[in-house]
Formats: sequence, C-alpha cells, structure tokens
Amino acid sequence: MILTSARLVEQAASDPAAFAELYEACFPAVFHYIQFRCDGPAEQAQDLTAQVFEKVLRKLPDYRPGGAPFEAWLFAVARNTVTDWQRAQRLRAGLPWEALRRLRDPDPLPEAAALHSEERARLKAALAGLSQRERDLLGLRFASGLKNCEIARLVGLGENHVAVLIYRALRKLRDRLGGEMEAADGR
Amino acid sequence: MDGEREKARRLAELLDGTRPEAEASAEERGLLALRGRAQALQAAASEQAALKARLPEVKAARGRRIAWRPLLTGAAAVILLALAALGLNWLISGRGELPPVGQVDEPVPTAVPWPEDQTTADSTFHLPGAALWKGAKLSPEVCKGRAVDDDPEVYERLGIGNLNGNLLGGGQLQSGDFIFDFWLICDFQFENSSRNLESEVSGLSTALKWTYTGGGQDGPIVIYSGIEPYLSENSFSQSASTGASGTDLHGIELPGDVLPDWNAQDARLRWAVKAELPDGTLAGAALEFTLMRGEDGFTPVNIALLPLTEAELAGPNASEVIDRPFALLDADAEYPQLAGARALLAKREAELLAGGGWIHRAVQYSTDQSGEPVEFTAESWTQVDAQGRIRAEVTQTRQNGKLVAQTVAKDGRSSLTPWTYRINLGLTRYQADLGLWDQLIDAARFGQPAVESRETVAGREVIVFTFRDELLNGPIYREWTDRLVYGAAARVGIDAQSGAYLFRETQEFDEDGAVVSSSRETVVEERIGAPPEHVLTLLEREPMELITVFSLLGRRWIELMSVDGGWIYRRIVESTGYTASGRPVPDETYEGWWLLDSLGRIQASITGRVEADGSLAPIFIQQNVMVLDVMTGERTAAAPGTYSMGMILMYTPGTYSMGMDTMYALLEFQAAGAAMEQHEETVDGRAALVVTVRETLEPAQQLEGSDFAATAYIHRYVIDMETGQLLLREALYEAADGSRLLHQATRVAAEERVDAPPEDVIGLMDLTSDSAP
Repeated sequence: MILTSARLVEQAASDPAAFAELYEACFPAVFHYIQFRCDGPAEQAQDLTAQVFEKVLRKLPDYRPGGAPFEAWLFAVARNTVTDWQRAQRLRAGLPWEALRRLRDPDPLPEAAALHSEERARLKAALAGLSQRERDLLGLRFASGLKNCEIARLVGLGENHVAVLIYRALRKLRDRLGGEMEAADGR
Repeated sequence: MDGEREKARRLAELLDGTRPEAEASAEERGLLALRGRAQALQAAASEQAALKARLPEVKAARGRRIAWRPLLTGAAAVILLALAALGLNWLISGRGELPPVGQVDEPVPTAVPWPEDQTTADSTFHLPGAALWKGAKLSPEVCKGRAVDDDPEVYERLGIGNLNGNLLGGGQLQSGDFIFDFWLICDFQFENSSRNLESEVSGLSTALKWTYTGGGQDGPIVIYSGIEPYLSENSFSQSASTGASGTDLHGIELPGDVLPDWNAQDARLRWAVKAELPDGTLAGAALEFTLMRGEDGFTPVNIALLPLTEAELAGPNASEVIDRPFALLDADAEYPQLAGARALLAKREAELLAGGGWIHRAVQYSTDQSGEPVEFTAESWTQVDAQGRIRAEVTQTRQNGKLVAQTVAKDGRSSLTPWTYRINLGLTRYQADLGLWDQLIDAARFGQPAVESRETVAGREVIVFTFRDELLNGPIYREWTDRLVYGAAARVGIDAQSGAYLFRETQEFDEDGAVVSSSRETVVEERIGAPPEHVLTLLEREPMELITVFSLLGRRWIELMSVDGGWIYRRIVESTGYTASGRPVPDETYEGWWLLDSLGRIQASITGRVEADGSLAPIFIQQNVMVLDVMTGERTAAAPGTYSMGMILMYTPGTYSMGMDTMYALLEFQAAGAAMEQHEETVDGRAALVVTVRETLEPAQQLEGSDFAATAYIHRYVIDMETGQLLLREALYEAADGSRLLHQATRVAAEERVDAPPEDVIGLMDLTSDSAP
C-alpha cells in the first residue's frame, strides 16, 4: 500500500496546499498505527497524530526521495513520537504532572467516547497483553502498508525475524481475543 | 523452529498478496481475519473530522521551506513539559549517568578534541560475545508445550495465551493488600544471544500478575523483581487505586559485571517480586527453584512459591539471599583485553572509598542536544560506609549559577526538588567508575566493537574508550534538533595512572555521518573530611515540600505559554517601604508586553514605566535578538532563546518566567536551609497560598535612620490558588516583638494573554524605524 506519491511529497515540502493533501492522505494510517501502540483514549492518539505531522512538516524539506519509501520515513517519525511519549508517561507517573493535568482539565477525559466501539475496546484490551515490540510490528504491518522487508529495515531486524514476530504476535492477539476467531473461522 | 519460520513466511506472503487467500489454511484464515478486525482501530468519521481540523497550520511558503506554526494542545504541552523532565533521568539514576569520580585534586581536562588524531595506540575489542553463554539455556524437553493438567485460566489470567512453552511452577499468594500470581515459565522467545538481553538463561522467564486490593493512595505502585540478591526496579503502575493490577513477563537479568558460570554447578535460585505502595509498605512473593544441569540444557526442579521473609520485607532491594547463588566467571580470564582497565578502575575505587567517608564530586555538563547550547554544573556530597554503600547524599544542579534541581538522599530514600520525586536508593553502592566497567563488559559480552586509545590531554596521559552504536533498532527522532539520528558514539576518558574518571563525550550522527548533536561531561572528584554546613543542614531537616507551589506556578505557566505563542501583558506595582533616608518613595507602575513563541521564548518585548498621564515610558525594548536600553541608548544582543525542554530546566534566559523565578528563588532558599512555611489564607478576597521564608538576623540589625531593630528578614510569596498566578511578593523586616516593616513589594495587577499591544506601544517597538526611541 502506497499512501502517497513521491511527487506530492516533494511538493508538500514547499507548498501548503500539497502538504494539506499529503496530510489528508496519510493521517488515517498514522492514527491507525498509533492506536495499535497506545492504550489511552482516542483523543490521545489524535494528539500524537497531530504531533507526528507537526514534525513531518518541519522535517519534510530535509526528506530526500530516492532512498527508503516515504512511508518508511513517515512511520519512523511516528514510531519515535510514540516511543518518546511512552517514555514520558513512565516518568509522569512519578511526577506531579498528572496532578497538574487534573488541575488543567477539570472535565473527565472523554474515554467513554473514545471507546464507543465495543470492538475497538476488545481489540485494545487484547493489544494491552502484547509487548510494545509486538504492537509496534502489528501497527506497522496493518497501518503503514509497509512490507516485512521494509519494516525490517525500519526496526533494525532481519526480515525473517520480523515475519516470525508478526506471526507470533498475531497468534497471541488471536488467543487473547478468545474463541470468537475460531467460531468465525468455523462458519 | 524452522516450521514456525516457514509458517511466518507463508503468512507474510498472504499479507503481501503474493499468495492467494484461497490457499490459506484454517489457521492462516483466522490470522488474516485479524486484519479486518483491526480496522476497528482506524479513525471513525468523527475522529477523521477532528484530525482534519488539526492540519498543522501553515502560514506561508517562504522559499523552499514552509513557515511552521506549531499546534500544541494543552495536553500536548503537558507532555512536552514531561519530556523536559526526562532530563531528570541522569539525576535520578545519578550513579549510572552522572559523571563520576575524577582525580582527587587535579583539574579535569576540558575541551578534549573529539577526532582520533591524538590517538597513540589503538586496539579494537571484538570479543566472543554470546558464546560465553553457550549452554546457558533450558533443555528443550522442558519447553514441550503445555502440560495436560495446566489450567487454561491461569494462562488467561497471566495474559500468556500464546506462550511457546509452558508453566513450570508457581501459584497465587496473598501478601498484604496484594495478590501475586507468580509463575516460572519456559518460552524460548526469551534469549540470551542479543544485546537486548531478554534472559540470561535462554527460555527461562517468569510471568506475573499482581492485583492491589487495598485503599487508594496518592502515588504509583512500584514493582521490584529479580534473582536475589540482584533485585531492581521493574515497573511503575499509574496509581495506587483499589483493583489496580499489572502483568509482566520477565527473564533473568543481572548486573552487567556479574558473569555467572551456569555450568559450574546446579544453582538454587530465589526470584523475588515486591510491590511498594506510596506510603512505603511492601508486599511480595518469591519463587524458589533449582536449576539442574543436563546434557542439553537446564531443568528447573523443586519449584515453590513462598511468602517473603522478614529480611526481604526490610526494603525494596533487601534480599533473603546475601551471597551470589552461582559460581562466577573470571572476567580477566574471559576478557584479557579488559584486564588492565579493570585493575585500574578497581584501584581507583578502592582508593576513593577506602574505609568510607565523604566524597565530593563536581561535574560540568554541556550539550546542544536541545538545539541550543546548554551548560550546567552538578555538585554532590556523598557519605559512603566502609563497604562503599551510600548513606547520605546531596546533589545540587545549577544552570548559569541558578539552582534548578536538588536531591537529598538519606535513610535509603531520595527526594528530588522541585519535583518532589521520591525514589528508593536502598543501600546503593557508590559507583566510582560511573558505569564504565559495565559498558566495557557489555561491549565484550555482545561482541560490540570498542576502541581503546591513549591521548595526552593537558599534559596528562588519558585512556580513552570509544563506543559506537549503530542504533540497529531504527533511527531516533530528536525533537529539539528536528533530525533523525542513525548512529551514536561515546568517548570516556580515565586517567592512565590513577584510573580517575575524567570525561565523557557523546555525539549523534545523521544518515550521512554528520554530527547532529554532542555533549560533554567533565568530572572532578575527591575525598573530603566533611561536607559544607548547608549540606549537613539539608540532611538534618525535612525540607518544606514545594510540590503545591510548583503545581500552581506550573499550571499558570502552561496556561500562559502553551497554545501557540502570542502576546502576554503584565502590569505590576512596585512599592518601597523602608528607606535609609527616610524619604517616602511613591508607588511605581510598570507595564510590559512580551511576544512569545510556542516554547515560551521571547521574540519581542517592551517594558516601561507608566507615567502619571497613563502613557508608557519605555525602558527596555527587545526585537528578536536585539535589546535596546532606552535610558542609555545602548543596544545589546539579547540572551538567545535557549529554551531547553530537553534538559531539566524550565527557566531559561530569554524565556518568560516570572512564576518560575519564584519557584527557583524558593528552591535556593530551601537549599540554603532557610526556615520556610506555607499556609492558605484569603488575600484580597482570593484563596491564596502564602509561602513565608524567614532569614534570621543575628545579631539584630538596627535599620539606619530608624529605631526599628530587625531580628529577621521575611520573604512572602502570595499565589492565587485558583489560577496559579503570583499575586504578590514582598520583603519585610521583623522585630523581636513580631512587628513588621515593609521593605519592598511587587504586586502583580495583571498578567494575561492579549491579542496584541496597543498601536502606540507597537509603534515604540520598531527598532529600525525613525520613530524608535
């Protein structure tokens, strides 16, 4: 799956209208990927998606076509954005930021709205039992459109290794989703 | 395993569409169906609409580049601030990251050139790496699938439904207000052959689920685990609320310099897990088992889940097992290339820690990792016992002389101000080599190349170790330089004679090998008889918590700064009370407008005095990096907007920071051991937090031109409890009878975001126009 064209990427570096087009083409996939990685409400995924594209906007003039596909570059930025965020979450747990945030946001976060879909809730619960590496790989596989060889380059593993990890992660996800899959399979 | 690889490859073909789905097996169809289900994670229509509205705002195209206008939500700003706090890591993990012990009394060389042109000798370590562990794995027989009597519910509970192995033993145990489901498991996903070690013994791991059943407490639950006596912090829960729970799969992890000889003998191991509540209460469980050697690997036998003993409950890192439970390999024999370095570092440590006592360490640190050059110093005073374990420690970190963070560690716990982040130190051993030996051993264990060279720096012979990291897990995006990092290198220098740690330099590289960022630490370290008085004071008294102050001021700061920059208007009234001449000084009103970028950096500003007719008499005008002193006509370069989110600081020259100034002023008072008190009261009809600092004047100070004899000098800070705005700060003299005399006061009449200054003020700000003052 190719999210966008090389020409649009090039134009987007200097043309706001092209960037808007690029954004429209790519943000759903980035949001989808982040949903794989993050347990928080969908608003959090939206925040992170916005952050990814802020970085993309700043960094795009430095992107050189001809090397790795744009999607690999884009998802490298997305991966690191999520990783940085998760790292920060760990520290926030011990710092007064949570209290700070509560003070800032007297209204409860709309988690209920974020998890309006039961299916999404089930998936998120199942994903919570996977390691971050597994979630990363599944997100890249299903959201980015990258093939295993491209994912392998992105994450610094061998292609076979990536294939096995994705296979295992899918089996794990299937197990965690319970017998539903088997029932569906049997139909 | 080959079968699994083949299955994985064939699944990839299906996912790639290079093999028709019609050929898919039942299992493959089940896995492919997950792809469809995963669409539920895609953005729904409402989410798509919300995201469309969040297109990063593009102001205009300038040349080849788009002018970028950041889009920060409140939540994102909080995250950014939290990222800023990440810089605390090197403080929190002090021993591991903060530069270490330097030569006893000689200055540390500075400005060590990075290139290798001074290298006089060169040897590369590329050691056998994982071969060391050959045989350190479970027997395949142990891992042959689930036992028939395994309860599937246990797998479900532990979240290990896909385990490529089986439960080896364990169970459920109640300890305090926790339930621990703790099992020894076999799964060859845990390997010991990679640098990202997952288990020292391939295949051996634990599966844990803990559940908290007690009442809510303010703070996180911290989980510790490990083979005794090598317990370490493992994870955090978000908060200690009733029903909180967590799961974890964890292989055997040992300190880098512990090289077990697993094949020497059967080993009886005790694997403990502990949960610590915010109030310090501990609970936990331990798995005991014997790792029995066999022809094709180890078999765990005599597995038992046991309650923790009294000794283990004495502290998060406390162990029932004191001695190492296995034979150790001789590092010198395994890695003869490192023998010289090990001996030198050991000699240095022995000299520095001999008999216990106090150690003073000063570190200078500079980096451009945040996109701007940042320099700060960290000074610590550490008391160690005869075994080299830390008994007490104070660390103070300053930027441009301003105290920005402070840790006080005693009784096994450490508090970090102003964040009030408490961590458990246990009886951590003072690390004289700052982790260099671990780094060397790590390089050797995993066959990573490292280079040793000798250089002469400032007339001193220095051994330099260079480590390179190709970042095999993918590039790292550096927020503050806006670039991707594809590789990194670190150089660590020690004195060739004494072994004293002298410096550490790092560089990060882009795809072409160009330097993206760099940092340098230099260290001086020495034994001292006793620390300064203020350090002892800090250790003796419980300093006032600054968390409420920090939260209030921080919240205000975020509200003023976080959206996307813009103008802030402030009006203050300065009052002067006592003067030596006795001449009354009328109140003066000042106004200022600051144009900030999204990170709080001042892009332009004007400050001036409000005249009787209401007009503004400018005093300072700043445009970009130029400041005009209107009174003198002098133009000077402004402090660069060195906003350093990547570091620990929120105060930075060139950053709007009135509330933060208050924060750091209070921190200075705290560091100096001043008497501080805080309480809530109503001030001008507002609920306010009042912080009072008392400096005792001994002997009493007779104020010139007055009959007032001051016995104390009082600082008061009044902060609006609702908005976090600093309302008033004042300084007063106090007499023995408690009466007070105002010295100076600053009342903040207004501080708010505005669209823009009035036209006439804008006109004053154009430094290039003819109308400029």
